[in-house]
Amino acid sequence: MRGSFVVNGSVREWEFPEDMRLLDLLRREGYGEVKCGCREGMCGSCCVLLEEKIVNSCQVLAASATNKQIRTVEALSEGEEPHPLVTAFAEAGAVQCGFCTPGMILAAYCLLRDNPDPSEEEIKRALDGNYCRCTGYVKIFDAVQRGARKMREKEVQE
Amino acid sequence: MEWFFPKTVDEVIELLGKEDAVLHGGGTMLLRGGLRPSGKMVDLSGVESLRQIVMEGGVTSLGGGVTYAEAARRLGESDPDHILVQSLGKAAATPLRNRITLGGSVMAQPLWSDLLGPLTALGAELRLEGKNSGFFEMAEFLRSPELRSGNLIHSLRFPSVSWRTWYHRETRTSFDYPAFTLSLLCRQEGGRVKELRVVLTGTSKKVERLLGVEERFQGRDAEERNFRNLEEFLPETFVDRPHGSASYLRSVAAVALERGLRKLMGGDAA
Repeated sequence: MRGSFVVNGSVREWEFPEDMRLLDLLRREGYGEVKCGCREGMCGSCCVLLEEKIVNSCQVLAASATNKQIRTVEALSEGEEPHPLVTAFAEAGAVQCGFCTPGMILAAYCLLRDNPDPSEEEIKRALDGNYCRCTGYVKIFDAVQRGARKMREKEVQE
Repeated sequence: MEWFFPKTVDEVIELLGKEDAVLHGGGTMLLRGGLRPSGKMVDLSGVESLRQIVMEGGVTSLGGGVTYAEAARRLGESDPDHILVQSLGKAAATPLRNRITLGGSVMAQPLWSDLLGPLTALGAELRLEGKNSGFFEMAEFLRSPELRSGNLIHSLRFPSVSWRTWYHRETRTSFDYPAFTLSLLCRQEGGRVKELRVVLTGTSKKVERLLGVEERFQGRDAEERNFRNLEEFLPETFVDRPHGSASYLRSVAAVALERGLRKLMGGDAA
């Protein structure tokens, strides 16, 4: 079948099998930042924003995402300027192997969009669909708090 | 496989009449169960009326296409302790809650459901459209497998009553499937228990209302409440699970039940 998608702000027209998952389609089309982990909706490494809601792209049939807005982690940064959350993850040492990082950052982004100053408990709950097998999560929670501060400061400056 | 993108309920009903029609809400259960190559996939995301949430006239109505996340968010705005806020807010994980729909979850009736217990406790009714159009009580729907084919769950409705609530999902870790769930709703008046509803899920009967427990506490004031030997009111329908044996789970459920009842009725919440 053929379908149209708006990926990171650009309209894309693709041919794909009717039973293809959004994860596989995005990766086939070069969006390597969407990682393939468990394919069961458990690990969160394949997360994308679908109509601005975070979803596991492995649990979305591509056909059901036609004519919808999709954003990957790469869409968060503006030009050469990394998103404050991306910087925060690097500064906090929250990236080890990096496999979970795109999903983690998108989950954190969704949280901070609705709640700019979350508690640690709220951060844990928002990241409940994202596994990290390297860091033990402490540095990730630290990165989200650091990113929240950066985003608040950026907002004040603007 | 062929995809259809209806915009109205009438179009959905027409498509439901086709052979091999499969309704696609969030799609998570379909992927788990395996896709039929010959299936006619009817995507419901374009049907606006299935995503409506209406709270008026003492009734709350949730569209069958409303996601767990959206239901928890909207109900939580007016009642943060609503039983569905507690249950749906804890189910699965954030990205999945943004996909799983109420209608899909009721239709699939997975053993690990965090929806069926609370809906039964709330006395919810389902509005079906299709082969059997009309309103059906949850209990009737659950014991009538024929209602699951040829019908669309248009919406669910229940009285907008203010309850004291307690919800428990028995899991090994926060993202685990629950071995069982307990939904407790309680209303008190003048120190007496006016109404109590206790619903257990996860047993071989899927959903069971614990009428014996309800009768023990209803109409009682604080001095008359007896929290001892609650295990005798729990059914023998628990099954062996990765979480533990049937008898173990029954004992754990008795402890959870006592905790919930004490918490709701102002006793020791430990």
